[in-house]
Amino acid sequence: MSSFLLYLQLGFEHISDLNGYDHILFILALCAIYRPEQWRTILILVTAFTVGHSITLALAALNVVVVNAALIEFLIPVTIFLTSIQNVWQSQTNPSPQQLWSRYGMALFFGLIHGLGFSNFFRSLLGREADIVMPLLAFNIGLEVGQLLIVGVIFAVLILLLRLLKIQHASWTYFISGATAGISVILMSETKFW
Amino acid sequence: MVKIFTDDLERALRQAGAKDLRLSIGEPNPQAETYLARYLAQHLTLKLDGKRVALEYLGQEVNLEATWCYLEAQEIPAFEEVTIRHTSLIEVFDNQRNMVHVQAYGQTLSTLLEAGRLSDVLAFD
Repeated sequence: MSSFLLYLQLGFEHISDLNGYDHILFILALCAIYRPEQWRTILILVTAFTVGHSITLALAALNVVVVNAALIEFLIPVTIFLTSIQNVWQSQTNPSPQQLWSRYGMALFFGLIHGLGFSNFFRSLLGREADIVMPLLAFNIGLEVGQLLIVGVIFAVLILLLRLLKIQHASWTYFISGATAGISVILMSETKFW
Repeated sequence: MVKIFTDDLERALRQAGAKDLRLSIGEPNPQAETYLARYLAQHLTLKLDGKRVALEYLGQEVNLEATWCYLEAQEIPAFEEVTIRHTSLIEVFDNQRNMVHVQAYGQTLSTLLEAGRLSDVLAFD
């Protein structure tokens, strides 16, 4: 296998790993207020998240920023919790431009935090490699593919629920946001940060 | 070069019989080096076109959370295929995966080794 494919595979596995489901949980919380028709908004949000985590992953991999792993492990569930809470008080059926931009900004900012979380794993993969651009690019593409797959699965489930079981979209939003908020509190309490 | 998380490696060496072993602290420890050389000899083998290549252990250095171990083979003949077997830590952790990169002839090939797939063959053009 080429090294590029291997790093791509590791990026994909890292984000879709069910044992480390915090990133999946964040994407779930981020998507929970949107209807399938709002796919453009979702695409921008997921891209903003990717831009955020690509920046910090690169900075951490180049040793520009040094991360306190315990703090980041704590902050990641905080981003999930805040996103879940925002879902409940902010209606997205008719979001104002300001609401939309604050959501994009939030996805970008939270992406920065998740990127630091990826970086510990990523740095442990690197040897004394002169060229970290290729591994970084491949790993990021792997993360992105995994992320899009997760979004696809979330919306496939949502469409089934809306069409077959005729559930209200608002019920989905509150049910998922409540679940992600609850799980994020458990994740926070389990970190070594305390 | 073999790069292993130091705490995992210490655990594996202790499980292999090394008592009070610490790679991360203090002066060079000849006994630890012996154990490490023996451990790597058991867990890492390299074949070029099916012929075993002897690897000589040179030493190690602790780098942040990882230990980097250096091994060397003398007089490597031209080859097309590398068979690599690297089983470090797989006996300690069920989900251990070892990432292997081989650089030769301007090409880098990689593989992941784990329980159920302890060795792999990399073919160079």
